[in-house]
Amino acid sequence: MKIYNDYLQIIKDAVESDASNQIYKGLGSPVHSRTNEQFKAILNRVESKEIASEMKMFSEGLGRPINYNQQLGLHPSFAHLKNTDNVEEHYIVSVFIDIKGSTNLFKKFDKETNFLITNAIIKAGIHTALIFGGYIHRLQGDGMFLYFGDKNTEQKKAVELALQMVSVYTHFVTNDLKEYLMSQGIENIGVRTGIDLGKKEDVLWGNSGIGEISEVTTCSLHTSLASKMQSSALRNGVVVGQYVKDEILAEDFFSLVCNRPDKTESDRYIYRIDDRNFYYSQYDFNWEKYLKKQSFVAIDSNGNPVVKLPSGVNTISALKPVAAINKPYFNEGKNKT
Amino acid sequence: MKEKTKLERDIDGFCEVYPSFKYYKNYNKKFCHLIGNLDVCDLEGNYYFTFRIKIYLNKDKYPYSIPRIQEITEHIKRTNENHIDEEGFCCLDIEHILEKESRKGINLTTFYKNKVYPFFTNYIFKKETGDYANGEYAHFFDGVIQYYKEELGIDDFKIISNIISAVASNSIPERNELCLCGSELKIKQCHLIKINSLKSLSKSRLISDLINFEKFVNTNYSNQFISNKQKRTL
Repeated sequence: MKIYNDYLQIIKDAVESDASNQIYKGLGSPVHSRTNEQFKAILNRVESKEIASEMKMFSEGLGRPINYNQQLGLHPSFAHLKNTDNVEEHYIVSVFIDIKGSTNLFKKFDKETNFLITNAIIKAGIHTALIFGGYIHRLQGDGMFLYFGDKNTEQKKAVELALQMVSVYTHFVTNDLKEYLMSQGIENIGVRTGIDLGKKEDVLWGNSGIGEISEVTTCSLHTSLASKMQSSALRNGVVVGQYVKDEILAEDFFSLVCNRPDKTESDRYIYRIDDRNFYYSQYDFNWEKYLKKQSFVAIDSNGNPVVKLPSGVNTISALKPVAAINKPYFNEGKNKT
Repeated sequence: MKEKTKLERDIDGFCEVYPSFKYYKNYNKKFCHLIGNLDVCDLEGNYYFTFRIKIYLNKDKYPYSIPRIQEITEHIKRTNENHIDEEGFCCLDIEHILEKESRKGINLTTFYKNKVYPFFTNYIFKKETGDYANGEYAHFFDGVIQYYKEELGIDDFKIISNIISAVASNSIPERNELCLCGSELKIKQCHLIKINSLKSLSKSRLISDLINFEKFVNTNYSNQFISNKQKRTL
């Protein structure tokens, strides 16, 4: 997707300037390592406080303001709970995203290159989350724990935004990123995601920890289940809980995890409390299909999703290869059914 | 459970790739149709425009029939120059090429990708640049003449007529006989492949083209005769 071009360019520049590539360039010639200035220039190609240009155009098209002034572990709707004994009930959508196979990068590149690559992947993830109104709660290497929903957003809308964000980002990792890294001999890069909705009565917000070693976080079965569902997701897959599915009317985006060929009926529920008759199902979410049905996405001739950016940035000559397949003819009355 | 037909399987596959399309089983007894958005994008990931279209499929004849395409949002002005009729039905290609495809049997997704999608992309290309990306066929029978000229690489109407006649009457010369184009080369070293490709047109089309060609040649010669006579009188 074009919106990730700048993030991908960081990764390309990082790989290009990796020590291993420098050695291969000429046997016998001296090895030039990346200078500190070059490292910083690559790192800051996309600024932290400003999303990349095409991503920005996309965001403007979506019409949602972006809140850059977030802090990890401090959801702005619940920041007033920081270092207090107060707690509060409020719904939340919890999202756990983890890049799989990224340790393979260490087999090939030096630690600086890996730092730049991981940073670009995380930056792309953070900016995508911000565009869709998400809150970054925690980062772990190239993994992310996000919240969707706040006091100004309806529960259903928060679920939709989480699914949209995850679909766009998963597409980036499984296409643009994977293709490029494969061309560099790095295989098996993928992403796994778990999403769940905790309803108001099931979620308690409060300060966890002591002093500055604390975060404003949720105590909820469904936050824990989101993390658990991430573990049960397939490579490049997304698993969601029953409550997420219930918010989306269309059935055809979800299939029970127990319907996978290698699973059994016992995998139907991610969690059960027999005494209370509580059985909670987990579903594979067809993010590709969901993505293709979003109004901000167009479908190209090959059936691939393309984000709609404002016109005027396109060069019409790029249409020629597709247009030239056609040579029209007119003979009145011969076209009707 | 009743096994799905080739048409139903192809429609399922198509809707999987292009999910904005919705399938309506019974447009009428003969046809079903799909309605959806065709988004014009280039291969570099840029989006340009969306058309809403209907794809009509012949339930009995599929895959041996050509889908009919109707543009329903009227974003394309209904004029011959735009290769679209008053009701929005689109001329995707010369009928001869479409007929060849239908006789081989089509796949809906491939047809959409190779014929439908490029038609709308080419419209946008022409709108922006003033020209079609790969030219266009002349309208009506002139387009048919152009097709044969380009297909055979021959300009002489009489030779083209002779070739059509040979294909229609199944009397193409043997491989080592002389070519019909008058080159004095063996046909296998000359136009055999191109002439053989015309065999995938229906006999009725070849005969109808032959009649029109002969009319065209006669009219042309008589017009030329009249104009020469007029010149002499003056």
